[in-house]
Amino acid sequence: MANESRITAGIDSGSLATKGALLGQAGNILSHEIILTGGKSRQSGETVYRQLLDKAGLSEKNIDYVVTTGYGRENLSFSNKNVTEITCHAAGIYFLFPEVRTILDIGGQDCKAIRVDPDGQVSDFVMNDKCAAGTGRFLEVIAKALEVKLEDLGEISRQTKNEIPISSMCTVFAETEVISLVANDTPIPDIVSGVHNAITDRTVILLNKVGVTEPVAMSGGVALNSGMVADLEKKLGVKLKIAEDPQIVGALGAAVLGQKFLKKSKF
Amino acid sequence: MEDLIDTVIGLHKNRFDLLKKNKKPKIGWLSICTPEEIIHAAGFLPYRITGETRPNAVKAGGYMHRNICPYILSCFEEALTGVHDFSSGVIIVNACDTRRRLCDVWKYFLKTNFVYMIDMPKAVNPHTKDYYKAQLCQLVKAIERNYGKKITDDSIREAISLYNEKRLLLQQLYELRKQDNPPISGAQVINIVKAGMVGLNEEFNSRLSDLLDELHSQKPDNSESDKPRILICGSYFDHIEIIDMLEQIGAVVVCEDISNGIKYFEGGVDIDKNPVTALADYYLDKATCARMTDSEKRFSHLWNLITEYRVDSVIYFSLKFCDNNLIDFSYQKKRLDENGIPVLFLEIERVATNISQMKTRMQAFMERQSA
Repeated sequence: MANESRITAGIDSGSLATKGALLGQAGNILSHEIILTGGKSRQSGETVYRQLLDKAGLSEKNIDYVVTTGYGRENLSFSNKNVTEITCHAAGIYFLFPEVRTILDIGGQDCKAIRVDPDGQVSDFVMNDKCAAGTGRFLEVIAKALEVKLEDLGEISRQTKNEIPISSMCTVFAETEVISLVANDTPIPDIVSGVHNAITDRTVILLNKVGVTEPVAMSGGVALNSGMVADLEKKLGVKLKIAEDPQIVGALGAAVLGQKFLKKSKF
Repeated sequence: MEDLIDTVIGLHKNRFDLLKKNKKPKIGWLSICTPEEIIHAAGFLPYRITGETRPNAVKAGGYMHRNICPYILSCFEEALTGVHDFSSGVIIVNACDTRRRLCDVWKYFLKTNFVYMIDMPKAVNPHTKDYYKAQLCQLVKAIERNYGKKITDDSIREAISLYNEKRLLLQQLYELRKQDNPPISGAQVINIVKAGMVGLNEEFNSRLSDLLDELHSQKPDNSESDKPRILICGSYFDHIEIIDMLEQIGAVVVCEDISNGIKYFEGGVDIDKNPVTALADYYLDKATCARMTDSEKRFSHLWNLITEYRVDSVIYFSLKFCDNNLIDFSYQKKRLDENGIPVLFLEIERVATNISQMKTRMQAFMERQSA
């Protein structure tokens, strides 16, 4: 029993997507998963947990500790402890890139800027969860209005010749603005890069509230959009560190914290 | 002891019934910089207008506009829907631009007999103190003229004595929170302070005295506590659910540097001076809220409380659109950072509607400190 590898699970129950990760004591990721929450956070949390176990060929009794995070973190009965996504994102990024000092997380419905100290502890943070205009939701709405795939936005923006400013502060009104731009035959790449610009402007304001210290990492689903990443890197004048799976950083961080809690309790 | 607390808080809970039953006429006020003693000396019951019965300012938004202080909007909503019809007047201090606009719309659209604005200076020096004394003398004359009353120096002195007694009692209540395990919660204390703003001062003093006797008879719980000790400050705040939530996630709120907290009753009016001069000096010297120009004085006052109450971290609440508090935050944060005190900034509406978003921030703030 002395040398058995302890396995922890992290479940990030977000309002848009539920993510999960299983982590071994040696720091090996055994499995990870992401599904749409679909308004049923408890059910989706349980589904993700089951799928993580199936993928890794394990059962519940193999899991030594479960940490849950995100909006629905308190609703999962199999959770041993719930921790906010701020702390989990910091832990996840520290696990992947321990040299990082500033984290930008743009998720489906919120946006966070987090400062971490050299030990990976959160030293300051600021959130925007009142307005969709700086979040992934905005991109979703625009992609739908332009009738393009969300995952293609990055590629499309690279073809831009002329960035069009989007003046509306509100996502709903920006959608209207975009529809009329399309009606006037404005090239789609120009509209997309205009939208990216509107979001990155807001993001930079948020980041400046905590201050930017390099290296800077980006996590959350929007990090998959190469156009957004390029625009942010240009505006901030830094190269962003991005995980292979930026969406599961929170869940990974939760699993990492699970290992930490286990270590504390064993002594 | 819960019964004793409820007896005190009952004065706030049932304030409108109690005030309406009382034969004395009433005058409403908003800012704690209002010299209540003058109102009391004139034979009125001064009571605070809080807007809490009308958090959704449906009508008021049409008379003013919606992108302003939700607290002031809720106060005007109460006025528009007749909540303060029993009152003989309202006194508004120009603590901020929105209150000046409140005075304008109240005067213009409602039939309230006496709508009076006090011009309070933003700086504190001999000139502004002279000016403020003149302002308060004008207030005395205006009340006398409007209601056909006479306010004597002696009646003001009597009021000062009564109010100083109240201040002392509330200070004693707050002292108890310096303990390792305060015997009374932040939410209960805010409600008690609000009960002291209803204008039924003799009754309040008596009930609070009884509660204090009971609290003083208990042995303090000196067992070790690892709960972070929190101080809250910022805009108008009476969001009890937030205090409850903070205590639920493992913190203890030990001090409120707000109008419904220590700012209301600290210090005492000098009984040896001319009474109107004494009031002008007291209210002006005491003012350390964000609307005053001296941000460093505001910080000093905050820092003294942090030291006295052994505060671990601060939560700074700003109402939406509260320019004074939003803008002064960066100065206060810088000074708190320099002194190693973590501070969490939270923006709130008239009531705490987005409670789970608040909880995420507060919980993350606690996680930061327990790491």
